[in-house]
Amino acid sequence: MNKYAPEIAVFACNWSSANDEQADCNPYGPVVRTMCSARVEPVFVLKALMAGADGVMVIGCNPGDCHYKRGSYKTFRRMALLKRMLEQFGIAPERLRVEWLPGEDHPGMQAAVESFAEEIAWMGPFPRQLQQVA
Amino acid sequence: MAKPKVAFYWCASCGGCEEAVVDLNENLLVVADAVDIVFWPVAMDFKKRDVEAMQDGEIAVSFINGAIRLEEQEEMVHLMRRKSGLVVAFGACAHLGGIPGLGNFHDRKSIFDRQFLEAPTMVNPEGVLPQTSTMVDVGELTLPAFFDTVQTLDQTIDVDYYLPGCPPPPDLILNAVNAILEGKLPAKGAVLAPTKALCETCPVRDSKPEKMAIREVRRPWQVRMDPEKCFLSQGVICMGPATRSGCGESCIRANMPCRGCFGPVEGVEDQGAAALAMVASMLGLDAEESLTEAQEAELINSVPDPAGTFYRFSLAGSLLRRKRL
Repeated sequence: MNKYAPEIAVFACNWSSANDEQADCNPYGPVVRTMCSARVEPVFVLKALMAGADGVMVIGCNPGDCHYKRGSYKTFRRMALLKRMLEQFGIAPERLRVEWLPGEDHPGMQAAVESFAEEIAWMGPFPRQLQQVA
Repeated sequence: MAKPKVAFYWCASCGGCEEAVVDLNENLLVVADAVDIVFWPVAMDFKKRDVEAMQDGEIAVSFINGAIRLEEQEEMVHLMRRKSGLVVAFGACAHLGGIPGLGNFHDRKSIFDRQFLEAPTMVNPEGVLPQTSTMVDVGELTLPAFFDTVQTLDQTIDVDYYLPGCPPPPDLILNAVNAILEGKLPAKGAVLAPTKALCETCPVRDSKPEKMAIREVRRPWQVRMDPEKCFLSQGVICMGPATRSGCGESCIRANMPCRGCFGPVEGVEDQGAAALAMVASMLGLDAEESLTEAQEAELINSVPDPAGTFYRFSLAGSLLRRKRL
């Protein structure tokens, strides 16, 4: 059985894991760098999914190690509530993954993206089509 | 000079928008003097064929309320669009799907099963469901098709302006009518309401703490709400920070939190996602360093029905638009 080749959108905190050399750390799609994982609003995740991503990964610093002190706490709560809501929309919450990585952890980010892509590959494409619209 | 022709039409809606027009009170007479109402099924005896007989663009403006749920509604709004110079999406349902848009958590089958087979008040031993065509002795009976997915008006036809609210308040309706009569309309696509968030005009705004932290989410019936105090500060989810103002804060004044009928604030694409971010940020905000993961999870799980709460009026018009079944 052929696995599906997934599209993955990565949002990565600039202080956590994505410095310049790492822009190509996601072979499955774009890496969008933000100043903090808490900059990643839930709407970014929804837009990424509707625009073609099959899975969205948000990378931030360990809670407690946030450059701005409290950003990762907010990321954790927002993404956890978003996962609950995605489930109500019939969307597997596993399509959204939050990963805490210490700064400049290249192999960590690569491994995280690979393991996420592996899971999304088995899940297949994000269900973008709607039931009978007019 | 001939008076401008105006039409009102309703789709998947409750009739409250029609009531809002009547709530113009004496002003309705002024409006009725200034315009020629050529179609208004709820109040006046015109037929579809009367609209069909008009020239394209002959109606100056059509106010269409309700979401698009049935084939008939789809057909009618296409006809109205063709015959109208301007189309105004009138009220939350036409604007964003409104309450009928919550049908997008289901599909036709699950709605029909519930309504016609499973509801405790239903007696239907033969399991009869609505059909688009039924042959009887005297011929064929037809019903419009029922779509799986509810659409907003602008997902169905081109819309010029939006009047938000469930229903739109009389002052905004009157402003819109006057702007149309005087030709003083903003750019196409505008929502004819203030741009700020409801929080900015909230009568209990001053009671809002500087740092809004929610330690326990409570539903309105679980707490004796203090009418002088910000609802969020009482742990009751209020959509005020994520909702456009202009409603006159009537819910707040009746000691009920905002439910979001005016849709997102200007420039915000997805009201539910904005509300989710807002509420999640407040959960345990005053103790985020010390809360354990289990405590955080408990707080997050205590938000009742996030999708239904945050998208109560805007599901059909949201980015995701419906549940995947």
